[in-house]
Amino acid sequence: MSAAPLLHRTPTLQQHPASGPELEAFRLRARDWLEENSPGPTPSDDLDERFRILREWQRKLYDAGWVGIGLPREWGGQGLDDRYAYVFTEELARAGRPAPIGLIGLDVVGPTLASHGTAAQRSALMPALLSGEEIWCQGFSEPDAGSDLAAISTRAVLTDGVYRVSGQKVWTSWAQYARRCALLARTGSSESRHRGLTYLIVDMDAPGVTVRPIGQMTGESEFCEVFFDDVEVPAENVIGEPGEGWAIAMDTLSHERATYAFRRRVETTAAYRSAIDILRETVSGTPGEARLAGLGRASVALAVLEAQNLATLRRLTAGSGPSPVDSVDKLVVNDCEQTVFGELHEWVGPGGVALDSKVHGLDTGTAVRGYLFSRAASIYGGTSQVQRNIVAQRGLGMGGS
Amino acid sequence: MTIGSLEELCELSAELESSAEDYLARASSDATSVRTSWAALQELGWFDLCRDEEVGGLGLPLGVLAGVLRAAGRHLVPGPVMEGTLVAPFIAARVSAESRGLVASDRLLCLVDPLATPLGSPMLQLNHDGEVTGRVGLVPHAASADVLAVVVDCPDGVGIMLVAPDAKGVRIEEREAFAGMQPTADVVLESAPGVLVPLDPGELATLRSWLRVLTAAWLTGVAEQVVTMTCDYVGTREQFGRAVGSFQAVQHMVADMAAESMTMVNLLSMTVARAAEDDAGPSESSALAVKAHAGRTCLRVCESALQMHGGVGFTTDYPLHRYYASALAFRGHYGGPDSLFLQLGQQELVAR
Repeated sequence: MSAAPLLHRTPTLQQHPASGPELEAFRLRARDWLEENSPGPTPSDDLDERFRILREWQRKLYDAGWVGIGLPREWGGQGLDDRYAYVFTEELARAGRPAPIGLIGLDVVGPTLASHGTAAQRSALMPALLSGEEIWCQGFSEPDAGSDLAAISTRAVLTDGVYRVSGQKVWTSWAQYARRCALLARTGSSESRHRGLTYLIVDMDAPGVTVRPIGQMTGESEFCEVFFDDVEVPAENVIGEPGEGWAIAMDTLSHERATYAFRRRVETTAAYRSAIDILRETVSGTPGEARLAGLGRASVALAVLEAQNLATLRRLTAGSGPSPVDSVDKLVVNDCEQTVFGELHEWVGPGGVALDSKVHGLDTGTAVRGYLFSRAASIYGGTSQVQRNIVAQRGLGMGGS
Repeated sequence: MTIGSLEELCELSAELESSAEDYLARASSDATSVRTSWAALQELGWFDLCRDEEVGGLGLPLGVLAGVLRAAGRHLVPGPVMEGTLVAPFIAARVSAESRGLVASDRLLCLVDPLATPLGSPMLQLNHDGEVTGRVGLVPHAASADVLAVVVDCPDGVGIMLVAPDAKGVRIEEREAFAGMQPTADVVLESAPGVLVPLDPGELATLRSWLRVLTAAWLTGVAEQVVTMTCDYVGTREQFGRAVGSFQAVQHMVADMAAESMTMVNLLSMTVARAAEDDAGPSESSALAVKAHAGRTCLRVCESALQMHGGVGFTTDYPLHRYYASALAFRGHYGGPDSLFLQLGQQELVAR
């Protein structure tokens, strides 16, 4: 039933998609290394410090050969495949270590350059992207183009081998630290929608680029507005061909969603495990059945996400491209994050009115921020409402409304 | 277990699952008597899949049953299917040769286990003459069983007593159920005789864990069929000049149903793969988790399906009610979601 691929049944008993002697040997090497190496705690209320720590961590991981695991060696990667990258992600989760900071580079731009970049682009950009020496941001959404990304209007006009870019991007994560921007801009007519878009590499230090951090309700400014005022971008900075921007972006989106789902499991598991470690020491007497059942629900949500990750890895290694199942994956990640951080937040309860205290040994600021960030999960990366449209229409063959 | 043989097991399991589905899709789903259905499944070899080779079975690892039970759930196969495919072979491998006939594959076996129903019944006890006394309420299939397999406390540990339903001291009181639910009965035993099969506590725990996994497999099949049924319905039913499935509100609810049923399949797969790699079977926590998730999620899927079907889904003219009833009835089997989440949470806080 190709009109309804989600109704296709998978066999019940399937092998783990990342098993075998070489993967096991790799796993044990990773486990040993991660036991010996840690970035230390990252503060939840100091973005600059958190960024600094996680960037150093990326450098450490890169120097030890744990970055770009699925990318070719000639560009600074490890020449392995998605299964190894997944195993490393699992070991990160197991050790309670965080993922590196240059994720837009690693998860989005790296794979995009690998599939669509020129040799010159790859040799110039990849090593610094992988090591975290250069941080990337992604210029996609705009104030008038969020869910409807094809409506973007940031314009790139080509004159004498140079594009002049003008417009505004929003929700650009880490732009304040970024050296480069992977920008989706309009090179076609205003009505050309997704067909008139081009994927450009923009130097964030170029004249005309202004970054304005946006205050988030969690008290930080992890994302920004980015204004482009007649910014010059050489024509060699196009990834792929002019007008191919949408197709290239969609092509890497599926892979990005997978690695995103793997990574969010790492991070959510780490937050959960560190809370459990604290609760085991501090909780005395009977905490009450509601809170205990909440931990049970959280642990099951993590198992559900892990099971979903395994199914995703199978699809990746089978070489299947973008699929409506990617949207199911996003819904599952959202549900897991919101369940886990929601349950952890319930443990601090009314104590969360002050962000600088402890309840059952748990830091209230961490719990409240974790809960609020989890509410953003169902908004970014394509809202749950958009994902459900995709699941229903492309996954189940239901007609458009 | 080497990779080679796990790979073969996966292939074999997939074949079994697919031939089970082929048979069930063709078989009549009208109120077939349990005996007729049972005979057909026996002919297919379901009850010999995991029976030891020495006693005429195929000796397959228990992991293959998950796919079979998932197919069975999709078609609401009547009778004690889990008991026949899993429990009877389990007992046959441990009972003395002269008593093996008691658990032959043509006999309907009913498992009398206080842990299966959350009524807080204590474990049944044996007296000095090896007779069993106690009461277990709401036992699935007790009224139609050829043999009762009663979980008991023994002086040296635990065991399963094989008791004939018409033996002295046995009283079976049928309870009422909706179509689609497994029929239950209260079992009251007063110094009832039987054949004792002693077990290690670990063996009993493993059996119960597998029962949780297979119940989750059944519920997964139920959810899948309910999603398929719902997609068909909303694609055909028209109102306001178009298919009701073209309205976004309907699409979103059905999308959630499909996503939820996929999570059930994936968690079942992960649990069974891990259990297949370990001679000890599924870990206790993985069995609790897969059952908790299936119990909660299957009911949610059915509730949404009813909403999507509107009035017709509420009638007995249409098949949804039987799946809904099955989801309700198996939700509490070996622990409902609340009880299992609580157990899992308690385990999390115990330092390892």
